[in-house]
Amino acid sequence: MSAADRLEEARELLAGHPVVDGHNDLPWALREHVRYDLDRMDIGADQTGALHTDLARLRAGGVGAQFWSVYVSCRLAGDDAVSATLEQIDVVDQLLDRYAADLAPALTADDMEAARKQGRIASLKGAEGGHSINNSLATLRALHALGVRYMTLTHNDNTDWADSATDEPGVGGLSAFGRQVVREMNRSGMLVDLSHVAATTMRDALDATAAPVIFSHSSSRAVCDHPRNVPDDVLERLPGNGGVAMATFVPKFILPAAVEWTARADDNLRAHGFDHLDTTPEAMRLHRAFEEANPRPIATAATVADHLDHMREVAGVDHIGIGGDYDGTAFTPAGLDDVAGYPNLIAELLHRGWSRPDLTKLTWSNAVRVLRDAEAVSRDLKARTAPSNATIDALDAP
Amino acid sequence: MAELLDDHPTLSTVPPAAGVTTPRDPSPPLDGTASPPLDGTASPSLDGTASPPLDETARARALLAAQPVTEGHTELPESLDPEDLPPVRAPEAGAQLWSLHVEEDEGVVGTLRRIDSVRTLVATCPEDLRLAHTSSELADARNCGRVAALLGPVGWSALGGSAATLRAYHALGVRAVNLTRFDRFARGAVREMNRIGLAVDLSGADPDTVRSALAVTRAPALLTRAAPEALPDDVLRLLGGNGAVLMVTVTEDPAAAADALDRVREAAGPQCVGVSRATAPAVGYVPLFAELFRRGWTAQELVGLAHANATRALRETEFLSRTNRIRRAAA
Repeated sequence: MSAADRLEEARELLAGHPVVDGHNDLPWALREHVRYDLDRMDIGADQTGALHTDLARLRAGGVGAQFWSVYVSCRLAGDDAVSATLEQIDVVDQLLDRYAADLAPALTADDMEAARKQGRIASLKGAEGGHSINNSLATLRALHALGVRYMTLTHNDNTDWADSATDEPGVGGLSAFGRQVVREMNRSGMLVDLSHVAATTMRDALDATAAPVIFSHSSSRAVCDHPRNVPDDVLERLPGNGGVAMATFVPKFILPAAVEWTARADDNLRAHGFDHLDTTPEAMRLHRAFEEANPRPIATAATVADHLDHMREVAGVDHIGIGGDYDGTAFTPAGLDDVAGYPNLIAELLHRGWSRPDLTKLTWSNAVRVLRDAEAVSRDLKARTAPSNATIDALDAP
Repeated sequence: MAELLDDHPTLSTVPPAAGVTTPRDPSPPLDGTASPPLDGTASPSLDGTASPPLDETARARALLAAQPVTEGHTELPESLDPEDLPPVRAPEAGAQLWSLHVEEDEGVVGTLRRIDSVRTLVATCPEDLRLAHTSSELADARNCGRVAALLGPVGWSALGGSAATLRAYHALGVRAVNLTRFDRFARGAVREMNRIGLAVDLSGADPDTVRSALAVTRAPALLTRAAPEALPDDVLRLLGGNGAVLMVTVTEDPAAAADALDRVREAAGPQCVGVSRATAPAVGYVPLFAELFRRGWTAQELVGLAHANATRALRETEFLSRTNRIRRAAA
């Protein structure tokens, strides 16, 4: 089979079993670029160059369901983080109103299937970071009532009750309140997302949860040793838990050469007295000079496929998925440049001998099953237990 | 008026309210067949002699039995522990607006917590309470013998100056927002409230704020805890033109509330009166309604006071929102 034939077959496969993508940061991009002025950034028109995402490219990419991230920055805390999360939720709802012919609001697995049959893109919401609930279980329930269907327990910084993969160890995984948050998420029917969290938190959450978990955008640590990826001992627990790890495309997490390059670039900035996250003109000038002298390593669809091959080996074909992180990362792999790129990944996997039934699990069925299972757990827990109003002060008292 | 009451319980089924019976109060008939007219005229009895006219207290009690009150203000109990819950079914209440006011420093999370608590409370008492989001759900709850629970108002400071927060509260079931100062955010916020169907509650607003808000809103305002004494006559007339409902607190002495309501009826019109809550639940609303009968209010006007005016304001808010839905959301 030629490369062109494989791409054709990939497109045909995606027409029947489109991609459920675990993570897309379009809402934050709309906040940062145009302060939610949707007239000034119309995803109904071509946004190539400005965004990774617009409707035509989602269609071209064979996307059938998207978890839109209602991420807010860790720089926001307390009530400000909650208010910003409400604004992020609100802009997703505005997108759903505006582009109703293409985007279908989805709250359940049944809604996802109905959208697939209608040929619309099922749109779900995912919160990224426990700071969005400001240590309040009532706020967690409010987010669920507003349509949020997963919450990543942390973003780049620890919360008071959970450790992040990219912060110093804090409570050592999940605190008692953190375990209560997981249980309340199970009860509400909100998926527990373990991307971004420390391996200790992953293990604690798998111990505490009654429902399948997800990794909305994380790849394999054995293939590329980066803290944002999932270690094998955790992947091995997914068959028992029923969850799904959705491989991400972010080059600096998935390509060892890019991890090493990023570390050297950060060191270069620090050597000149800048923070590695500094985006001031002087820091950016230094960074560009470094990039000219040291070409940035390029990831490809094969890099992502390497991760999926390994994750499939360790977790099994029923426990893997895709979470691109488009519009949440500055750089993307060659061939997966934007949301139109998924067919290239499927073609690469066909080339590696993945069967059609296995590919439909990867793209569509696994993620839908996880949401359906979480709904069943929620129904059961709601019948047996009352909502929790536990406080962090009471549970995590020293 | 009488036809409004025809399908409703006769006096024999009206529970006597504690502490309001007077020596002139005739005992309700025990056989449940007599349904005396409520216009106060004597009705012929079976033996052909005229029975004495009903006194105002009996008429008030009959009216309230058939037309339960929509209360503008209810507060959450201190504790939601089922052991500590006070009786949630207030006598004569058919619907209640649950205040979501929080301290200034509790903000959005405090309000979300309160919404969650009311929802939990309602879920704990399904035999007594039922959450209502629309005027028809309100009527539905009443027809099922439940007290309808409406969420709101939330306080102005709990919006954090964000239209997105406004829309989130609406999505969570809130139906009124208490606008107490007309800041830069208010003009756009009031328009957005009209668009999505959130009632503008002007309780506690000073006369200038009321004037400014009425100049913008196209839906009837609510004053869930009205204090008409703080509002000059010209503002009351403006509220009358807007179709607002001023819900007045009823204290143990019904004369004070009756005086306030007389003034609102005079300046704004009978379509603008409502009740907020009874500070002495054991006394309830019968003495007030009896007093207003004595002052010459018609039964029709008293039905408006009990619930019809508030329902009408909520329905008009919903209707305006439906016709406005096609308009673009505020930024």
